[in-house]
Amino acid sequence: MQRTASALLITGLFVTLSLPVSAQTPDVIDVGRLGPQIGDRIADFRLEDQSGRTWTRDSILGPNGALLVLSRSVDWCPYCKTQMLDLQSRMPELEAAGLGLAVITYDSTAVMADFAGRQGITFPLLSDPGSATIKAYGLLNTTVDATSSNFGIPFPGTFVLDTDGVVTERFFEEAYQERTTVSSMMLALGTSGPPVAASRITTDHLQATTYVSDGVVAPGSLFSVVFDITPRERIHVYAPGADGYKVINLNLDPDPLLVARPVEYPESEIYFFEPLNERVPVFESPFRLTQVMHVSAAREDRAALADRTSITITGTLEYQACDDRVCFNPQSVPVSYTVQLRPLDMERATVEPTAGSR
Amino acid sequence: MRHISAALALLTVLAVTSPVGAQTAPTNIIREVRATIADQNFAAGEALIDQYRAVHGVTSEMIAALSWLARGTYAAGQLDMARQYSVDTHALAVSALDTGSLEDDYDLEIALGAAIETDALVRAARGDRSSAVYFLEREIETYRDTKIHKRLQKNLHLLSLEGQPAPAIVAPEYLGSSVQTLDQLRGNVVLLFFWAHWCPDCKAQVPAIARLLEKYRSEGLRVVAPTQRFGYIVSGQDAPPDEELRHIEQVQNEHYAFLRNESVPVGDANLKRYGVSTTPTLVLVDREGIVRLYRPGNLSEDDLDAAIRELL
Repeated sequence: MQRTASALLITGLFVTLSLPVSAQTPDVIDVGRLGPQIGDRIADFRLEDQSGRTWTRDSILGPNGALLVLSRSVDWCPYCKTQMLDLQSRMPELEAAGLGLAVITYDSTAVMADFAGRQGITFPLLSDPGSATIKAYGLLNTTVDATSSNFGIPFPGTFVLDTDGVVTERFFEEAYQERTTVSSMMLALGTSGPPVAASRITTDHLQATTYVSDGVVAPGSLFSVVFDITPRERIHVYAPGADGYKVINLNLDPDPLLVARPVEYPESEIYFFEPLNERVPVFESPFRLTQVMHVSAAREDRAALADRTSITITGTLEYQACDDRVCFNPQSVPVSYTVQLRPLDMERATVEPTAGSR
Repeated sequence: MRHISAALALLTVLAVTSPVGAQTAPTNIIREVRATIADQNFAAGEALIDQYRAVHGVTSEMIAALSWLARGTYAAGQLDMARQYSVDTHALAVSALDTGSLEDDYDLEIALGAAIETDALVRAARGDRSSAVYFLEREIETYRDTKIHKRLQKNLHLLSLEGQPAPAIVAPEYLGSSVQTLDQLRGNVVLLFFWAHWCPDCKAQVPAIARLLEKYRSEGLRVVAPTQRFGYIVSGQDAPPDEELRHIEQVQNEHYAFLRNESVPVGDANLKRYGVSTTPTLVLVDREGIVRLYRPGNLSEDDLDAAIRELL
C-alpha cells in the first residue's frame, strides 16, 4: 500500500515538473464547483443574438440537446474568439449529433454582429446585458475588479444540455486560456468515432486505432490524443494500480510548446491470477486511452509559436502484456501526429464594447 | 537483390505447394489477387478485395484472397503489412466460423491456416521465436481436431529449436554462482529457465522447477536461469542499469530463492540467441547438448517432470 502511494506521488511530481510553468499563473478557483452542476436544470433566459433574434433556454435546444458556452468576450479575448472559430468549423458535426449551440457573453449585440460578420459566425452569440444570466448562473468572475471594463465576464466553460435543459456534462477549465475543442468534448461524450485520418497499430498483443481529435488547434485549445485499443485474444495489459507491473501508457517526447495532462484511463477489469493468488487491474476488453493536451498559451512562448504553422506530437505507446501462461517482453510503439496551428484572433471590434454591464 | 529473389522463390514455392488448384479451380477474386501479388503490387490486390467486398460482402473466397496478401507481403519481406493482413484474415475467418466450418469450406480452411502461419512467421522473422512458437501452440489447442492442425504443427516444428544444438549461453554478468557454459555442463541435462523480474507467469513456474531440481539433481539435472534488464523496475519506472540489477536481485531473493546457488546470467544476448520474447520460456538440453524441448509459457509440474525424466 505504501509502495502504491509513493509511486503515485512520484508520478504526480513528474507530471507537475514536466508542465511548462506559465508566467501568468491564473488565480486558482475551483470552477468545477461553480454554476449549475450535472443533473441541474439551468435557469431559463431571454437573450438577443447578433442579428436581433431572441433566444431562450428551450429554443437553443436541438433534437438531442445543446452546447451552451459561456465566454468572456468576442471583442478582446483572443482565446474566446478563436474558440468561436472551432465551434463554427464543427457545426456540421454538432448538427449531425442533433445538438444546438449558443454562446453567452457580456458583449453588446453590436460587438457580436461585428465579430460574427468578420469571422462568418452563424450560430447565436447571445448578449447578456448587465451579465444578468451569468450572475444568475453563479458564474460571474468575481476576481475581476468591479471598476474594470472586464467586469461582468463569466468563468468560461461549456454546458452540455439534454432536451430538458438539464446539464449532462460540463467542460470548465481553471486557466482562462484553455478551451476544450468540440471534438474533444464529443470524444468525452462518446458521440464521435475515429476520424478518417486515424492510424492503425498492430502488434503481437493488440490492435489499436490512434488519432488526434483535431486537425487544427489554437494555443490553449484542449485537444486529445486517442487510442482505441483491442487486446488480442486472451491477452491482458496492465491498468493503473497494477503495482509491480508496467501500466500501459502514452509516453510523450518532451516539447516545451506542448502541455499535456495525465493519460485518462477507463475503469479496468480485475484479472485473477490463480497460481499467485493475485488480483491485478488489467484491460482485456476493448478500451480507450485519452490524453488531453494543449499548445502552450503562455506569453513567453508566443515568439516561439509565431512562425509555426503546425506542431508535431511524438511519443511512444508503452505496455507490457501477459496471458495466463506467458508474459511478453515490454513493448514500445512509436506514434506521431501533426496538428495545424490556428493563430489567435487578436483583432478588436470597431464598435461600442459591452452590453452595459458597467 | 538476393533478398528479393529469395522472396520470389519462396512465393513461388507457396504458390506451387498450395493445393488450391488441385481441389477446386480458384475463383476470380483469388486468382486476380494472386496475379497482383506476382507483380508485387499489393495495393492493387487490396483494392480488388475492397471492390469485391463492396459488392459481395465477406465471403470465404474473399478471406482466402486476403490470406494470399498476407503470404505475399511476408514473402516480399513486408512484415508490417504481412502482420496486418494476417490479423485481418484471422479475424474474418474466426467470425466466419460462427456459421461455417473448416471441414466443408476449403477456402476458409486455407485462409485461416495461412493467416496463423504468416502471423507466426512474422513473429519469428522479427526474432520473437518464442512468441511465434507460443502463438502456434495456442492456435493448435484451439484447432486441434480440425483440418488445419497438421499445417500448424508443421510450422511449429519449423520454428522451434527442438532437435538443434543448443546455442551457447554467455554471461557478461551474473547473479548467484558463476555461470558454467553449456559445454562445461555437457553430460548433464540442463533446464534453461528464461525469466523476467516483472513476469508473474515466471513466478508461478518456480515451485515446480525448485522441486524437480531437488528431485533430479543427483541424476544430473542442472538449472541455468538467464534473465536480462528491461530498463525499468516496479510500476514501470525507468531505472538505470545498476538500480535495475539490484531490483532483479531483490526479486530473485523474494520469489526465486531456489536460484540462489544456481547460475543466473544477466544480459540480453542469451534471450536473443534463443529468440526469447516471452517469459517464462523453458528449454531442455539433453546430455549431448541438443535442444529437446522449447516451451514458451508455463508447464505443469507433471509435464515438466516427464520431459526431464525422458532425458535423464
